[in-house]
Amino acid sequence: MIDYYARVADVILPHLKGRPLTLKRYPNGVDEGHFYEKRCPKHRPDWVNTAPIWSGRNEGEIDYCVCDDRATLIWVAQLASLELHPSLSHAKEIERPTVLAFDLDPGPPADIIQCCTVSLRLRDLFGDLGLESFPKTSGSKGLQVYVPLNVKVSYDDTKPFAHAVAQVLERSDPDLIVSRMAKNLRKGKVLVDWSQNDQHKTTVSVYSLRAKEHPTVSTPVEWKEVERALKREDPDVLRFEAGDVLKRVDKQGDLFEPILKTRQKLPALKAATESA
Amino acid sequence: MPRAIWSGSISFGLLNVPVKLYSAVSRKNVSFRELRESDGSRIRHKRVAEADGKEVPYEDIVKGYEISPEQYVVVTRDELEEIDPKRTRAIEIQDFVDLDDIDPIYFDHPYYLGPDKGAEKAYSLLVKAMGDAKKVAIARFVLRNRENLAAIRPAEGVLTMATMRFADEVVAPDELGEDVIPQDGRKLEKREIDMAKQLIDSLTSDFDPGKYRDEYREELLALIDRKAQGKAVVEPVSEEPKPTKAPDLMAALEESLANVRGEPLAAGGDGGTKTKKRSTSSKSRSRSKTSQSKSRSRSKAKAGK
Repeated sequence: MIDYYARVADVILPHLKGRPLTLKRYPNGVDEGHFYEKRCPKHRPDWVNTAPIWSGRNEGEIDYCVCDDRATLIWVAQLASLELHPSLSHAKEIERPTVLAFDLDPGPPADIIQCCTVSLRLRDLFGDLGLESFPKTSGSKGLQVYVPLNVKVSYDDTKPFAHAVAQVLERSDPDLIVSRMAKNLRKGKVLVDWSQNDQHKTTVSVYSLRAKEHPTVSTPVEWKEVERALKREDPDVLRFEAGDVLKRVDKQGDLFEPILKTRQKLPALKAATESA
Repeated sequence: MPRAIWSGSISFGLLNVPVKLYSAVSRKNVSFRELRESDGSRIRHKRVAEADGKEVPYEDIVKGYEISPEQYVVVTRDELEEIDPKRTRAIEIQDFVDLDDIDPIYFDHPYYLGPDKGAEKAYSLLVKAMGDAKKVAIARFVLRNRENLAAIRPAEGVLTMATMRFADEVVAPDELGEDVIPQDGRKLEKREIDMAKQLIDSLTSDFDPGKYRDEYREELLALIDRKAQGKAVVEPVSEEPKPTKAPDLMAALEESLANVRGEPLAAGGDGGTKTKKRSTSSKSRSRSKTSQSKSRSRSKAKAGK
């Protein structure tokens, strides 16, 4: 695991740089308990950067780890932080998300193939709005779709927008898509989880390992791979383990680079009043 | 006359002393009402269902214990009542211990125990005997359906009782790990320790609880007083404010999508190639549930109009 993070450092670091990081630690291996650690451990070496972030729940500031360099990444990995969950914001501008994120979570018997259908709807919806979007596997059961913003925007803009997008999708195909969290609504459908667009939430990082039986990775993919998986109805097209990911990075570089560079503005929606 | 919050009797061995329970704390918290900033209207909290936003009456609410995220075991009121601790009226003394043996971390809420009618003599006897023995009684009793542990001790001629936390409720420092236990193993220098001790000596005095005041509360009350004098008081409007519809982003989004796509509203993503993609993937689902495919064709027909 430490070896994987060392080798993927060049592509994962830009996605972690400057962002408060939540560590999902598995001190006794993936079969046993884990805990989320927001507060950067006290025994950290002094070259590990941290960022104080106000936490309402704790009525105080929490010093988050900020993974800015290779040494920190290795140090974090050796804490058995299998999964890395960065904020959608930089620590310096914690109220400004740089990206819009959707987590597509299938409720069995739906699986990643249904997620493919939904992700393509998302892609088309954003396409119609003139926005480019990028898919990655969650490394678990689903897919995630990111829309790079990198402009001046706040969670007060992105969260309601993301919610509206999820609702519009749900309304267009209520048999396949659900926008509300309740587990019992999800059976056989795909939850378009818009609620990640929140200052206090984190989403698993691209290139992060996942705590599964096999070392699967949250992997950036191309839309044509999503289409291929859907056409063949083959979930394995979108299943990548650490070794596969290193090979892909060698060949394709970082497919998620545009997430950091592309600047896009949310469309100005004239907030219509409901005529019920 | 302060009102007793409970009455029962202390019992141990053959002794039985009827007592009444009084809180030993008068809360001085400054409490606020919630108002709407614009007009001072009082805020009312409603219990609403997440699923549809509808208000749920009290009798329709059940308790669910979350066994894993969003998976609940529902426990009914009857089931809860069955396992309620029996409403005995006894404060049953289990042991007598030394006060110094109790870590103050165990103490929760302080109460006074006063004698009930006709029990003055037995009560005074207990106060005197416990005072002479310099012992604290550890007792169990049920208050408001909750099993409580308590420490009873005499003070200035009356019995005080502090409810106590059960051992498994108190967090041991090592459960918090490195956040409370210092990890820095560097050796402390004798000079440093001596300096710290000197500082402690210079601040050592007798404990005088009256010396410490809640300065925040005093300032807050002074502020409220000033504002009340200066008439900067918000008075609520009595008439029902007109409900205004919240802006509906979803409708706005659908509208702008419809503009781009040149499709009627509510057609959503059902255009062209996308429909084809979905029907391949949803084959198995529509086979298993005919009602689903029915509703889908209905929505399509609507979209086609």
